[in-house]
This record gives sequence, C-alpha cells and structure tokens, in this order.
Amino acid sequence: MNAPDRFDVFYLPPGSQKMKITPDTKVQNAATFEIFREDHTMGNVIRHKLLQEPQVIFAGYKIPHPLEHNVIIRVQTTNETKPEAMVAKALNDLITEVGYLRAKFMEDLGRARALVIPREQKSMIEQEPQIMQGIQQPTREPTNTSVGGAGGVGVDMDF
Amino acid sequence: MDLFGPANKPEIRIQELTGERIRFILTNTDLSMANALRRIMISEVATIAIDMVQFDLNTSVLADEFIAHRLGLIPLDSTEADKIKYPRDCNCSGACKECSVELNLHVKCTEEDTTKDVTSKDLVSHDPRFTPITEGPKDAGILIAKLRKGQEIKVKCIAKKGVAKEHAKWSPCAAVAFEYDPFNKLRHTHYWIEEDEKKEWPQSKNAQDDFPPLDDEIFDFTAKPNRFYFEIETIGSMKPEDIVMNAFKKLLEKISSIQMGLHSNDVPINGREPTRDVF
Ligand SMILES: [Zn+2]
Repeated sequence: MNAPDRFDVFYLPPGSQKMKITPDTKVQNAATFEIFREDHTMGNVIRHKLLQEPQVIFAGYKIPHPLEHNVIIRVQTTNETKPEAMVAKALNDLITEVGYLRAKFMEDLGRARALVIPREQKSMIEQEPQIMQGIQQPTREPTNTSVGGAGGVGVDMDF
Repeated sequence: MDLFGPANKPEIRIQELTGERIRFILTNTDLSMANALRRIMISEVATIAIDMVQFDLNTSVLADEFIAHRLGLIPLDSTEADKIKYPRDCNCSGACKECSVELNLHVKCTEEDTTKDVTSKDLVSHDPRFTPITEGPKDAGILIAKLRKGQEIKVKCIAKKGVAKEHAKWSPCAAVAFEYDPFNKLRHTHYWIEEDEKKEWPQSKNAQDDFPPLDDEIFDFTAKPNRFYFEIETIGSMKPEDIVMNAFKKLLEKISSIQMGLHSNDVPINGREPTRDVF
C-alpha cells in the first residue's frame, strides 16, 4: 500500500535535483556533496579520484541509511582551491578515463572478434569453445540454460 | 591526453571471447574503477524480462505466482534493449509497443500416460527482436512446468525493460569473476594454513598472467592493485562484449548526470541553502 516503487532505488524523478551541496559552517574549504540515487559505485570512484589530488586534504563517502538511496561525499581542500572545483575536476577526469577505457576496449574487441566462431555456428557443430592466441582455456562441460535461485529482490550489493 | 603519464595509461586486453563469456585484464586503473565496472555489469545493464503475467487458464499443479516467477527468469534476447523505453519513461498508461513486448503461452496436454513439458520454446513473442533465447535447434528450451493429461496453461506475458537493481531477473550476467593480485603480494588477504601455503592454496588461473614474487622480494606496503582480472559469463540474453560496452556507457551516463547535478547547483561557495529541496 505505502510501499515505495521498486525503481525508487535508482530512479530520480525528472526535474528533481541530483546533488545538494552543503558548505561546512565551521571548517574552511570543506563541504558535503549529497548525491541522490547513487551508491557505492559512484561514491567510491569519486572519493578515489579526489584523493589523488594533492590539494585535497580529506575525501570520504558514506551511505548514511540503507533505505535512503543517496551518497554523501565530504571534501576538504587546501586554501588554493574549493571543494566544488575539486569535485568538478574529479568528475572530468573520470569521464576522460572511462571514455579512454571504452575506446581501448573497442579497439581490442576488433582483434578478439576475429578469432571467435559465431554462436549459431558453434552450437551446430557442437564443438569446444574457441581457444585464443594460445591462452589456455578451461574445459567446460555443457550447461543447462536455467536461471536458478533468483529471489524476489534486486541485486543489492554492499561490497 | 595528459591525465595519464606515458607509462601508466589504462589498458584492456581481452584474453578470451566466446558466445557466452569474456575474459579480460584491466591494467593501470585503480580498484574503485574496476569495482565500479563490475558492479554496473551485474546490476545496471538494462535487459528485457517478463514482468507481468496474466493467467487466462492454469489447471496445472503449480500455483500461478510460481509459474509467473519462473517466466520472469527466462532470458529474452536483449541485444536491442536500447531500442525500447523504460515503462516509467513512456507516455502510455499501462504497456504499449514502445515500452513492452507481449509474449503468449498456450499449452495443453492431450496425451495419455505421459507428461508434457512446457518450455521457453512454447512462448510466442509478438516482437521478433525480443524472443526467448535458444542455443540452436538441438536446444530443448527452459522447462517452465509439466502437464498431465487434460491440464492446460494459457497466459499472456508482458516483458519490460529494466535493470537488476530492481529485480535480479534483469541481470545480463550469470557470473562476474573479479580478481587482483593472485599471488597476494599486497597481502590484502591472509591465507589460513595447516602446514604449507603453496600446497593448500592452489594458484588461481589468473596467476599465469601475473608476475610471481621473487623469493627475496621485500613487502612493498605502498603498492596498490593495478591489474584486474575479469571473467563475465552471460545468461544468454546479451553478448558478453555488449555487456562490457553497455557498462562503460552506463558509467559515463552516471558520471555525466552527477556532473550536471553539480553544475546546476548554483550555490555560492560560502553559505546559502540550495534554491530547491529535492523531495
Ligand atoms: Zn508505453
């Protein structure tokens, strides 16, 4: 009856704010960034990028409550800069890095795909999975396609 | 690209690629990036799965909700999942062609003294792009129920697009294996042993792609993991390389949405509450 929608875990209604910035009232150059509808995936990755900056004195993240699907990132910087600027830089660097990795993956995919037998063809001749470039592959017995043991809940990860 | 030095550019090397699995090594990134990728592949890559089942007839021994649950877990071909809308983003009230796929199942057992298998092959999809997956003509399909003479199942299924954060049936991965430092040089784990560590803890298969420690190697407590081994096994609904590609895309989308959230926050550096509260 009053149960929240299942997609409430990750879906932010259009028009609502994604982030709320609260400057620290007592500490200079410190602020908390509350990101709505995000989890450890983004919290950890942003914290990690922030800690790589020499101007960042402190960066940490937490998920204060398991039923509220928001992350809090706290940042304190030196006098040279502001927390907002460092978070902006961290996000920019992340975009560059992920974009670069994606391009790298696509590049290598071309090489890898050339060595693969298409799935339909493979099932017709019922042969062993392809071995690539002399890298040893574990033998695998044929598996029954069945989805086992999935419960009534989504994948909820805290690790 | 000056973000990375010349020596530590991130790399990806695909080790193995088949119809249902991919194995790759991710190097020169940090643990948080590798972990984000893993988490997104498991729970945030969108697929299509049966989400609503309307029972017209069920005289089998299985309860309606039991069958509905089994139908939900059947992998549907989701290679074109990006061509369909999320139900919550659609303008329609219930389900339409833009945001859902209808599948019908009607099986009756008429034979004496045998049971009839109802399988995923009996599901008839209205959209040829989204059908239950098969492994070729020899595949018997996924068993949904067994019927005795006179028993009948007639249902209408509505499949929708979703992510595994909502329900695990939407996960494209059967398993995501993730490892770093197979020789435990970083001492992030402690092996419980009886007598001999080497005998009792066999090496992982990734050890052959890693650099074994020297006999007199001194423990480097500043070392950080930078070589990550992935192995992704699909459920069949999507090609393994597509899962990785979609995960990268999703990760970029997530970062950009936070970036937009940051820039739309016109909060001055000192004080003043944000202009609008969220909820
Ligand atoms: Zn619709």
